[in-house]
Amino acid sequence: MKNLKEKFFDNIPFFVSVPAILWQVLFLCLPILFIFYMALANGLFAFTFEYFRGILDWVHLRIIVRSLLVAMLNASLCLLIAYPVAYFLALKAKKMKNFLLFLLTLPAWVNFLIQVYSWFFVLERNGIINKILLSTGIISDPLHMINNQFAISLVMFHIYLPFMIVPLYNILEKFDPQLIDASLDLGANRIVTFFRITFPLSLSGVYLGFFLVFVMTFGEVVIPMFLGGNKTLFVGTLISEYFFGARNMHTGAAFTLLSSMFMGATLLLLYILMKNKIKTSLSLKG
Amino acid sequence: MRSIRIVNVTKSYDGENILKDFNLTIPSGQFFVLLGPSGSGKTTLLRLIAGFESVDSGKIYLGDNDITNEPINKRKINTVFQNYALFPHLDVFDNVAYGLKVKKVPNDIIEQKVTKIIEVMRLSKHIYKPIQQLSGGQQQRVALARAIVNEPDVLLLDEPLAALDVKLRERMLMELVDLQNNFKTTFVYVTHDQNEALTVGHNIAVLNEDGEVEQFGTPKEIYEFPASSFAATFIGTTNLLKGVLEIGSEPKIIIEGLGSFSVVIDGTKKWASNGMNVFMSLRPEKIRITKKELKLNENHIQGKVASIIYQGRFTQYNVKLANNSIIQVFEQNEEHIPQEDIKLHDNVNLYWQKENAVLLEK
Repeated sequence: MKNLKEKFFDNIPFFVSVPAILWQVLFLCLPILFIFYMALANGLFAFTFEYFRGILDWVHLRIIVRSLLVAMLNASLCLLIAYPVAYFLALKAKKMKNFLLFLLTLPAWVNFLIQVYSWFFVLERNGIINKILLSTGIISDPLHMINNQFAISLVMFHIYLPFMIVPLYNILEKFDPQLIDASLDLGANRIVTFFRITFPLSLSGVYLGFFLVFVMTFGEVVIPMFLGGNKTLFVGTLISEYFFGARNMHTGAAFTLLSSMFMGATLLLLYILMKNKIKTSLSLKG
Repeated sequence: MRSIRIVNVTKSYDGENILKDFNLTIPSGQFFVLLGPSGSGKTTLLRLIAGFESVDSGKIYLGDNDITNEPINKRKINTVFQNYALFPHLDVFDNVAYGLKVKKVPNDIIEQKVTKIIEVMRLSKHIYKPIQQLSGGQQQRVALARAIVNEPDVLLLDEPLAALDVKLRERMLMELVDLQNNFKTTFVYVTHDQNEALTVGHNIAVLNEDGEVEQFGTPKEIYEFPASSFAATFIGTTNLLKGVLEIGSEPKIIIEGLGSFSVVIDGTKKWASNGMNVFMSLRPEKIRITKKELKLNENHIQGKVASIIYQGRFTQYNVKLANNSIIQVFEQNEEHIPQEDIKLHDNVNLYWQKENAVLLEK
């Protein structure tokens, strides 16, 4: 029989992980349970779909679809721009690598709200861009760059780009550049090499970055509020409106669950599509 | 024609010359070995031939075609990399099929060729396995198959066996020789391992640290008749003795503290002149060691056994000479119980025929 002391030492890994588990339960599991409860409970033990029925209409659906499209656009744009950057950082920038990575994280040192506000002063009617363009005579009337989808997408792109670069950089840094040599040596050109070797081998980074940016953009509240002029509603803004504006927690919780389901379904669909596409393009029969 | 001709090639990195006005002809259809220490530019040379690097100046020909500026993927040359560089997301079949696939060869022909080469390489059992599940030797064979299936004019091998253990390496060497025999492709094999070079090469080019060809020849020529002390010491083991040449009625080398020894000056030693400083290379296995004094018309020297190292096939004696230098002697272990038992600190006589020592200018 082991005595108490031995038992304690055997279980040290468990004791060490207790704070983390508690944290997760308190601040992740419980709130999620609370959301489910709020969305489905009518009284203490009675369940109802009443709140869901209230939001299953075209108005709410359109907001979800709009948010999905904006998130998709932003994630795709970030991927398109981040990939070459991450590739360069991981495989080409040799001595400058650390300095460039530092530069990349620099904007994140500034508070998120201040970043968004700064964009406001850049884009507004009397902002820097309009001033420069007017004074050089390229335009005669100030450009309308704020309180529209353009401003929202631009700032989302700027804020979330690093979240795409970092996972891609991580995976590409482990990529063996000799595989490129091998592919070229076997007769492939650089484009074929990229799509058959480099890209497939960086897929886990692509998935991670894409889903990360997608999820964060989908629930974004601050950017549409500050730079969208609150004209168009997105999922994030509507949820915060239900909870804090209208104080309609039940409907808010129901809408949160509904939009989360849509998001999950979209991600799953995307994942399956991407996976199949890559499988067929790699196999001999493709 | 599948020969490679390298003409006046210069290549430098960061201002440092790796190769300078380098010339070499690799004969068609041969198993050719580039042998040299690390830093001798042999891998650079290989990368230039493959096309991964471009020359600063000079020309490279494949047969009669100037391929100096031909892109990698257009050259009919394939490489087997030191770390194999197999594609980790593809299985054995797709790895081997890769070259044919990107060249848009019809699927049925790919299927046929790949299956055949995989059979030749004894990988049929593993054809649809992911690369990670294969052993080092199997991965090596996949790398070979992946290159050979493209039927290249020249196959470049960059220290392909470095990662394998000794037994496996010996077996793979034999397989490579068979493979080259079957395909008659020109093999260019880069290594720093003299044993590998002697085993597989039809011809060997020995490179020195400055990226120059020190000697070019068959393994036997290079081993028996090294052209320089670098070649003599880099390939195999040798005793290098420094002395002064004296050309009288019979040419002799006078070594300080040891005496004079007969040497042979043949037609290849046109540089030899009376009174010049020279080296004599004497392979340890060409020396006869005995405690008895023999009446032989051979070079003779006396010494004391300083250490004995038993090596199985042969015994190595390190013999201390009168001038305190050490000379190595290998004696074949022909008998279970040798007639003469040489022990540590025994005084011994060493004999060798003058034809078995090689006179070297530098």
